[in-house]
Amino acid sequence: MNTPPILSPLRSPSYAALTAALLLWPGRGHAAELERHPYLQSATNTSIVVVWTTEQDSSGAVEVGPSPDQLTTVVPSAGVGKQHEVLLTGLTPDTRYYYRVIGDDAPLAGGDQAHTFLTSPPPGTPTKFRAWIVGDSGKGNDKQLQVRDAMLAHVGRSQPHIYLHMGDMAYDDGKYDEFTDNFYAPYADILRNTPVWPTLGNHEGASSDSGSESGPYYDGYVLPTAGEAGGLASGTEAYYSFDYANVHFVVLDSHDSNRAPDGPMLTWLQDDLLATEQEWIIAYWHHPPYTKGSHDSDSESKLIDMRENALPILEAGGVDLVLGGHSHIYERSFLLDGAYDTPSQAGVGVLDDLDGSPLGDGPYQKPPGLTGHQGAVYVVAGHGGTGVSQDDEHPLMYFAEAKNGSCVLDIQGNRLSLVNIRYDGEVTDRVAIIKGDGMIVTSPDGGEALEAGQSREIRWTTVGNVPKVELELSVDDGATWTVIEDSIPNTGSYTWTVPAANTEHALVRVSDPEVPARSDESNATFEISSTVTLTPVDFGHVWRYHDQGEDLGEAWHAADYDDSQWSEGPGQLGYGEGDEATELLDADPNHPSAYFRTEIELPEGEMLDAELTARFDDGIAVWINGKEVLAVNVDDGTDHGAWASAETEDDEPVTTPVDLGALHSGHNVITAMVKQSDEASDDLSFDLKLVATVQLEPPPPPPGGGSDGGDDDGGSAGSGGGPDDGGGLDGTTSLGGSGSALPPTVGADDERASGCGCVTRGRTRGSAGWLLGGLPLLVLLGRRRRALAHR
Amino acid sequence: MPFEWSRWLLLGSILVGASPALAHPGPSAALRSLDERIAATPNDVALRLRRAELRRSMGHPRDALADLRVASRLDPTEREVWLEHALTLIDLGKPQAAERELTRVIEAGPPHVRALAERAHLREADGRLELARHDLDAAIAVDQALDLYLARGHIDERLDHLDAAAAGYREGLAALGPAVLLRLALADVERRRGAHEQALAVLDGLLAENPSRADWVLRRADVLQDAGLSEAATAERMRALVLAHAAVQRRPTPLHRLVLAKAHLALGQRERARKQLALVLEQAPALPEARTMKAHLDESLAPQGPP
Repeated sequence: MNTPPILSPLRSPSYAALTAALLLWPGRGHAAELERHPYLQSATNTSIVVVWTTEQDSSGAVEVGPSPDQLTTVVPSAGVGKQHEVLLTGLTPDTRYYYRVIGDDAPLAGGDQAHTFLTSPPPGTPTKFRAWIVGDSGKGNDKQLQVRDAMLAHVGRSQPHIYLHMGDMAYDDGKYDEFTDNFYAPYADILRNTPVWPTLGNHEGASSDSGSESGPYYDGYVLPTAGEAGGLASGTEAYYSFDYANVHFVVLDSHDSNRAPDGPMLTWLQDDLLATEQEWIIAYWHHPPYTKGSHDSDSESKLIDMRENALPILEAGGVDLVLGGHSHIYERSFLLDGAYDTPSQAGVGVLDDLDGSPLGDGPYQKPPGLTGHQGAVYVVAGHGGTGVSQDDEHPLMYFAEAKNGSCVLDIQGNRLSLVNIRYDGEVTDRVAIIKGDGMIVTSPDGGEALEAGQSREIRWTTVGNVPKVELELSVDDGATWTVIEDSIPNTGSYTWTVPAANTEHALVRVSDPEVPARSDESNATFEISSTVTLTPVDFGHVWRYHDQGEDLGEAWHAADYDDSQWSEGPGQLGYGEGDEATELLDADPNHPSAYFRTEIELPEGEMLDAELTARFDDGIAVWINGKEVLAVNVDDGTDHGAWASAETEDDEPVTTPVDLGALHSGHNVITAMVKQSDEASDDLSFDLKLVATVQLEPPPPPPGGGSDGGDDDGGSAGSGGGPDDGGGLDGTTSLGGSGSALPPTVGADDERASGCGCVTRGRTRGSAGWLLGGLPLLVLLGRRRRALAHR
Repeated sequence: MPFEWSRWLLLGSILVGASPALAHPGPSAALRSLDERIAATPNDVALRLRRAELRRSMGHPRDALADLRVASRLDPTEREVWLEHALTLIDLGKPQAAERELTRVIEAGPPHVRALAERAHLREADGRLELARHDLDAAIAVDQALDLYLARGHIDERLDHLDAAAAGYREGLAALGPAVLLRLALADVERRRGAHEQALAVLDGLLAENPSRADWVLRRADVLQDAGLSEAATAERMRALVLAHAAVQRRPTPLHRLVLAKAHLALGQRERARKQLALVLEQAPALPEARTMKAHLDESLAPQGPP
C-alpha cells in the first residue's frame, strides 16, 4: 500500500459539499492527468478498492452507483497525492456497480458502461465464475498484447471475474515506470473491471522487498493482510488468501519470503488451510514446483523449496489446483499427489495418468467436498508475453507447449475447468476436475457466435451413472430456461439446430433429469444471432414449368392456381446451349413465352433485405405473390404473344433488389415468364436465385415469465454479464418482446424444412444445404417451455 | 502415451524453425540470457549481481562468487554486491565471513533491513541473542515487517524476556493489524508469563473469528490448565475433541485429522492419537508437523528403561 491511507467511505455526501472540498484543496491550478488508469484491488463481497495514479499531485474521489447515470455515492481519497486508493464498503454481494474517478475538480475516467465492477459472491456460494491466469507477461511487447487479445476474443462478453497474475509483470526490474508501461497500461481495459490478485515475481523482486513490503510492487498493490477477503490474517501483503464464491485462493511468495517448513509463511499456510470451509482450494506463487521450461524444478532452490516444503502442507490441506509462472512455458500435469522427490520421477505421485480433458479421457475425479491427498493439477503459466522455451519434458506433465498464451479458469459448483489459450487464439489444452458425480458442458462453452438455424453439436461429458440427460437453453444468462430435449440418452453429444433468439447471453445446460442438481452449463455466455441470410431459391432449384405455348392469362400467378399438371425440373431450364439441367420444348416456330412457378415458406420475422438474381435468354419477368419484381427485355409487355424486346445471353445474370413488400412470412409464390426474341431464336434459358435476410422473431417468453426453481448451483445472472451488458444492478437482462413461433407446420409430403424455418416444396438440390434441419427448430418452439430460477 | 502430443508439438516447433521455443534453449534460459547480456555489456554491475543471485539460487555459489568478484571490482562501493556476497558465503557454510560482510553493509550507510535481519539470524544461531535482538530492533525501526517482529519475539522468549516478547508482539499487532501468527505467539507468551487473562483474551478473539478451530481451543485449555483450572481445561479439551471430530467429518484432510490427533493426545488418549497420526502419515508422510508429533509420541510411548 502507498500513502495516502485509504479512507472509510462517506455515504452519499452531497455533491455540493464534495465540490466545495475539492475546490478548497490547495494547488488546483491545473487539471489532473491520469498516469495509471483505475484498477481494482482487494475485492470482497461487500467492498473493493479503486486505485489510480495521476501525473501530478491531485485530490481524488470515486463516485459509485448502480448505473453510470446514478453515481450517487461519493468517496473522497485521503488527500493530495499521485496515488489514490479509495475503499468502497457497504456494497451488496454479487452486484454490479459503476464508477467514476475524479481528479482535482474534474472527471478523470469512468461514468460510463466500461467502468464497472461486480462484487464477489458470498463465500461458500457455488456461483459460476471465471478467472484469467497470466504469468511472466510484463515485457511490453507485441506477444503480451497478442496473449491478452486472444483471451479477450476467446471469452467474448463473458470476461473473467478475477485476474490472477503469477508474477513477472514488470520486466526487467519491476521499477515504477516498468509497472506503468508493462502492466497497468496494456491491461488498463481489463483492470478497470477485473480485480487483480498478484504474486511477487523475481523481476519485481529486483525493486521490491517482501520483508519490508516496500518498492513498486507493494506500493502499487493493495492486498489483504488482515483476512479482509477471507482466510486468515497473514499480516503481510507478501502472502495472503482470499475467497471467491466456493473457492479459497492462497497466494504465496516464493521469491522473497522464508520458505522453510517452520517459517512464518508456511506456518500461516497451515493455519489458513485449517480455517477455510471452501469447497475448492487453489494456490499459486511464482516459482513452480514442477517445470522443465526455461527453468528446472530439479535444480533451482526456490522451486525445490516450494515443492518439498509447501506442497506437503497444501496437499494435506486438500489443494486442488496449483498455479505458477517463472518458467517461460505452458505446462500442465497429470493428477498428482505426493510427488516431492528431487529429481521428480516419472510415475511417482501420479494418481491419474489419463489426460483429464473433458474432450478426451474425461475430467479428473475427486471425492465430493474438500479432502486431502486426492490429487491436484499443477499448471505453469509463465507464457504471458516473454520469450518461451522448453528444456525438457517434465515426467509429471501431461502437456507442455513452449508458445505464449494464458489460461482461463472456470468454476461451477463441483466442476473446475481450465483451458490454455495460445496467443493465436487456439485452445491447445483443456483439463477439468469434478468432485463427486457431475457433468461438464464442453460445447458451446462461451464466446461462440452462433446463427439461428445453424446446426451445432452440444457436447458434454459425465462422471457417474447418468443414463439420460435433459438439455436446456437460456437466452438471458440463466434467468430462465427452455427445454431443448427433456430426456435423451446420455451419448455426450446432441445435434442441435440453433433457434431464433437474438441474444448475447445464451447458455446451454445439461442435467440429469433424475437428479436435477447434477448439471452443468456453458462456462460463459455465447451469442445467437437471429439475423439470418436465407437462400430459399438457389440456382438449381426445382421449378414447375409450362412450355407448351398456351396463353395462361393472369390466373397462373395466383397462389391457389393448380399447377399440378405442369412438368417440373431443376434449373437451369431451357434448350439450345447444352448446359441445361432440364430441357424444355424447342418448338418450331418458337413459342413466345414459357411459364415457371415455385412456392416457398419463409420464417416469421422482419424482412430486412432481399435480392434476386436471374439467368435468362432472352427476356424475363418475375413476380412474387403476383407483384412484379423483375422485368428485363419485356418492353413489349408480358402478354403471352409478346416477344422479348431484345436479345441477351444467359451468362450475364441480372441481379436486382426485391421490393420487401412483395415477400412475407409464411407461404410465397414466385412466378416467372421467359420470352423468346423471335420465332427463330435457337435457345432459351432460365434459372433464378433469391436471397433474403430476415430478422427472426425470438421465441415467446416462458409462460408467466417466471421460473420453476431449478438447481441452485448454476447460472449466475448477476455474474455472467460483461461490463457492457447493460444489465441492471443485479446484472440480469431479459429479452423483450414476445413474437410468435415459427409456423409449426410443413406442407405436402415432399416439403422439407429449411435451416431457419424456411420450408420449400422439396425441390432443392446443390448448394441449398442450409434448408435441412429446420424441423427441429419448429418442434423446439412448439415444446413446453420451462423457466428456472437462476439461483 | 499422453505425452506424445507434446513430443510432436516440440518436434513440430523445431521443424518449422520459427518457434520461440528455440529462443533460449538450455537448462536455464534465464541464465543463458544473462550470459548473453553480460557478454555484450561485461561491465554492467546489475547484471553481474543478478547472475550471481541466480547462480546461488541454482546451487552454484562458487560461480556466484566469480560474478561478485567482478562486480566488486567494477563498483567497490555497491552494498548490494556485499550483501549478495554475504548470502553466498552463508550458502557456502561460512557464517563468520558472511557476518563480516553483513557488518560492512550495515556500517556503510543507512540501516539496511535485509542485512540486519540476516546478521541477526547468524548471531542468533550461535547464541549471541542480545546482539541479534539489537539488529532486529534496528531493522524494525526502519521497517515494520511480520518476520522481524516474530524473530525478535522469538529471541526475547529464548532470553526469557517474556514481558519484552509480549510487548514486541503487541507492537507488531499495532503496526500490522491482526496477523494470526503474532496473535498466537502473543497468546503463548502471555501464558508463559502467567498472564492468563490476557492469553485467554487473545485466544477468544481468534476463536470469535474462527469458532470451529479445535487447535486453538486446545491452546485455550492449556492456558486454563496453567491457571489451575483443571476441570475447565478438561472441558475445553473435550470441546476441542468434538470440534476436531466434526471437522474431520466435514473435511477429512490430513491437516484436520492431525488436529484430531492433538485433541486425543491432550486428553491423554495416546493410542487414539497414534492411530489418527498413523492415518495422517499414511496420506501425508511428508507433513512436517505430523512427523514431529509422531517422533514425540513414539518417544513418550517407548518402554522406559530401569531407573
